[in-house]
Amino acid sequence: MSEVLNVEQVLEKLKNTLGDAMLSYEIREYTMGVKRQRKLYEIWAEIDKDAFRKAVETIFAIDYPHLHFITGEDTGGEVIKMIYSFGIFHTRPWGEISITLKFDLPKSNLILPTITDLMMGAETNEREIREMLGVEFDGLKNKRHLFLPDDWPEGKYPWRRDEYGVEDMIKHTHKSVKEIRKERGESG
Amino acid sequence: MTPETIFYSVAFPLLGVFLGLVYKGIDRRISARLTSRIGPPIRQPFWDVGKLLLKETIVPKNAIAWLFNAMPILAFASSLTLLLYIPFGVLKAPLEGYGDLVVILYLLTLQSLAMAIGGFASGSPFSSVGAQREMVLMMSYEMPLATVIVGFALIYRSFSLTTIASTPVWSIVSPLAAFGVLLLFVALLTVTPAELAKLPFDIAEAETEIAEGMLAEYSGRNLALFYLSDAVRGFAMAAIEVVLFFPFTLSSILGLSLTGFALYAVEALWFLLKVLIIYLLAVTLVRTSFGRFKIDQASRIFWVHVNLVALLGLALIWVGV
Amino acid sequence: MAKSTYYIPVGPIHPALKEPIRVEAEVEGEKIVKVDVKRGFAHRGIEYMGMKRNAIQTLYLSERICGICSISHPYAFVITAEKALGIEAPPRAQYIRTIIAELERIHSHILWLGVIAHEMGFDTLLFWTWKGREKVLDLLEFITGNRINYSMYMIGGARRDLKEKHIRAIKDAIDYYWKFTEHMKEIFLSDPVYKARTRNVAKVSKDIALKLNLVGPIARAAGIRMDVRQDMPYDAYADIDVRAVVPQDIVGEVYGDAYDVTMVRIYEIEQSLDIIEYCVDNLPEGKILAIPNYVALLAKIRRTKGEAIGAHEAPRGEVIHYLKFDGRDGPSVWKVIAPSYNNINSWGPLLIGAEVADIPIVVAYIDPCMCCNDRVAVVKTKDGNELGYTEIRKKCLEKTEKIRRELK
Repeated sequence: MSEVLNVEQVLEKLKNTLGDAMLSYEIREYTMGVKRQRKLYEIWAEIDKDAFRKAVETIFAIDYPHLHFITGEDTGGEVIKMIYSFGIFHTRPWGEISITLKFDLPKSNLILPTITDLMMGAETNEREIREMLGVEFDGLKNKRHLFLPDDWPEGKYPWRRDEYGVEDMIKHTHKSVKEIRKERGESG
Repeated sequence: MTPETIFYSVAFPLLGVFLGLVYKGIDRRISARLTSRIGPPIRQPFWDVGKLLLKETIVPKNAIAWLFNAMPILAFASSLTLLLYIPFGVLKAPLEGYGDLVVILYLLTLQSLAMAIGGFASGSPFSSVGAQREMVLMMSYEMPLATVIVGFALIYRSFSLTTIASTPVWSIVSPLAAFGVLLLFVALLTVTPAELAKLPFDIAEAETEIAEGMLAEYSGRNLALFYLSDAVRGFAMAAIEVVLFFPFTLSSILGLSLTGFALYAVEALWFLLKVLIIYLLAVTLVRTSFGRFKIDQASRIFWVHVNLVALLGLALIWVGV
Repeated sequence: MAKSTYYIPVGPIHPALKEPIRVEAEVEGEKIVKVDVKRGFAHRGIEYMGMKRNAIQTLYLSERICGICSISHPYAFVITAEKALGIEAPPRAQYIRTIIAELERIHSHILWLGVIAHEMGFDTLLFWTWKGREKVLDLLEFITGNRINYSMYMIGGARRDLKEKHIRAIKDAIDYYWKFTEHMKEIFLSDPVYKARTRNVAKVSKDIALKLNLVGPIARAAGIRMDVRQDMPYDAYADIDVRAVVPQDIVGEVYGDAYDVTMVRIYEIEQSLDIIEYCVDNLPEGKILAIPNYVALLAKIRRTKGEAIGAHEAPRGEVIHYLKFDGRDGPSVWKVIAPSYNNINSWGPLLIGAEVADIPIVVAYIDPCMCCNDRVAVVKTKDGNELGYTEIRKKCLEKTEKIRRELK
């Protein structure tokens, strides 16, 4: 069992190993409870993409984490903002510290190192990101589609908001009934 | 062969099919009531058969068609033949003298075998797994079943069912052997659900595991034949148990002196009641109160526990007779 | 050499599966030698739809992600949104939300117990447990108006208040379930057939559970003391000091198999009863919405720039939502992780070396909850006429009225 650290110590460790690669960071506090109020802590850090693997290894060295999620946001620009969220010390009451790592991944080079060697279960998340955003994971063994059908067209990624997106494949999912009726010329 | 025999050999199977379906209906109804459901009407199995007969019969592309189609007929035929060996109450079995307990044993096996071969022939992985399981299960329960029959042969020095039916087994054995007969009865009761592919030994048809297994590919007329032979087999199995262990006639218990038609009617109803009780005990109650075993667990139960009970029973009879 | 293995497809439609997914197993006799799990038969792009709608619409949409644990996604959603917006639900609303979530846990766990019994062919147990489950469903319908999809939660509060008669009904139900759970313990945990079918089946060690990122009762059955209600408490859970239910506390040893999962789930029903009792007895007075006006709420969301992650311990494990508000009245990024997303990871490793008879139990023991497919239901009257939407709705209202009258 690894040593239990408080949130400042965890952040300190991250800062020490990452150095300049830690672009910005923040400790967020949330007060919970009605009758007995106590605090929960989250670390949100913006890092350099090259330091990603090192940051994850640091987290694994502190405590074997629980992977909350991996997601990415495409705002339509030149980069995809990747978000990794881990929870550590998650078997202790009021003790879970969630660490969220964010970094920009340029669309010209959508390659990330895999973390499946550290955590088998991350395969699901990486396969999802791969098919939804088109990010390649270096070292990911199983590259079959996860949620999308096997005959999904090459080079289409549902979460992308550029020419690789699926806007043209989707008809009514995000329109209200009113809008559809208006388009058809029916009176609503 | 007398005209009477010919009449019986037509009437018995018809009656057997009818009774088998009625018992199935009662079984379903009571099982539903035990699990706080309303359950289907008792005539539901007749509707099921009627519906199946109207439906299209599909033969899968990669099945061996002739084998696939022949097996339901074989199973149904053997179940009908089985009926001809069972003495209904005081009535004599139509084929009495042409075969005995050993034939019955083979006819029962033949049906399971037909289903297994049908399963192998249907070319579906679910059916193949189901058929394999059925074979393993058959090998497991055959031994205790044979032991029971050998036990009876030891007592009566004969395999003939009519001989057994005419004298209740309990009246001719010593107390020690009677206990052995009781053990044989327990063994036979345990074998019954397996023989009839009912819970907790419906492993070969396990719905949630292999989607009805051997029957997965059967439809229409073929499925109706399997359904009918299953119904008949259920009735026949319970009837055999009654004949072997409870052949007491009502008139001998109450000391009635009925003759002619009245005797036959009363004894037939009494016989049917006994069969119903055994059926409910060995099938309905058991299948409502157990979950399904795994094939290796079921095998172990038959090979070790049931076999032990049956062999002990046999030994007691051997010593006691 | 002759082909000694063959291939068994389980799903997307199969009696063992309640929702579509595909498990392709290569079988040698009864042993499974190779497994591939194919998901995605029910994916409808809900996250995508949510990113195009406003936050309140997305809240209701999130309720449709899952039909069985239909309150867990809205719960995680409102917690996340409240974190991002910096608002806090009034105390009374926090307690009401906890009560509803725990009632749902009870019905979901009982549902699972019934399903696992059915998977091993024990239909009597299925009927019996589900009969017991009706009581909590009726209670939920009485409180919220629906058996599932309760629409109780709102960002910054709850939509319906608990009245005196509701509290009476809840107390009734609690008494009923204390007895019912006692019965269930007897029936499930001491039944020899049940034990024979679940002991050492679907066995996960603590180490593997961590590596596979498993959550919820499955992780707890493997001995990991993780429970969002304990690790990152929220709402009324923060006052209660919930502790994760793990087998080592109940019987002193951990197997991590389907039997342990059953045990954890049954004891969690008791834990839920305790939580509900506490909440009902200590229900604070006051309003139930922080921002009662939805237009004002949407305006606040539009003004907010921020992101947050929020988690809720659903009956099946941890539900995590990530939201980013970016000048629109709805989320610009919405990421949903349901417990089954992680728990299905366990199928591959667990099925290899298992038997065909174990497939339904391995598949069912995590209580998989693929986002349920949408579907069309045609309801007919006795004379064969089809009922339209309005009549169905009328009938639903009649039924709710009937229950309300009976429970009064």
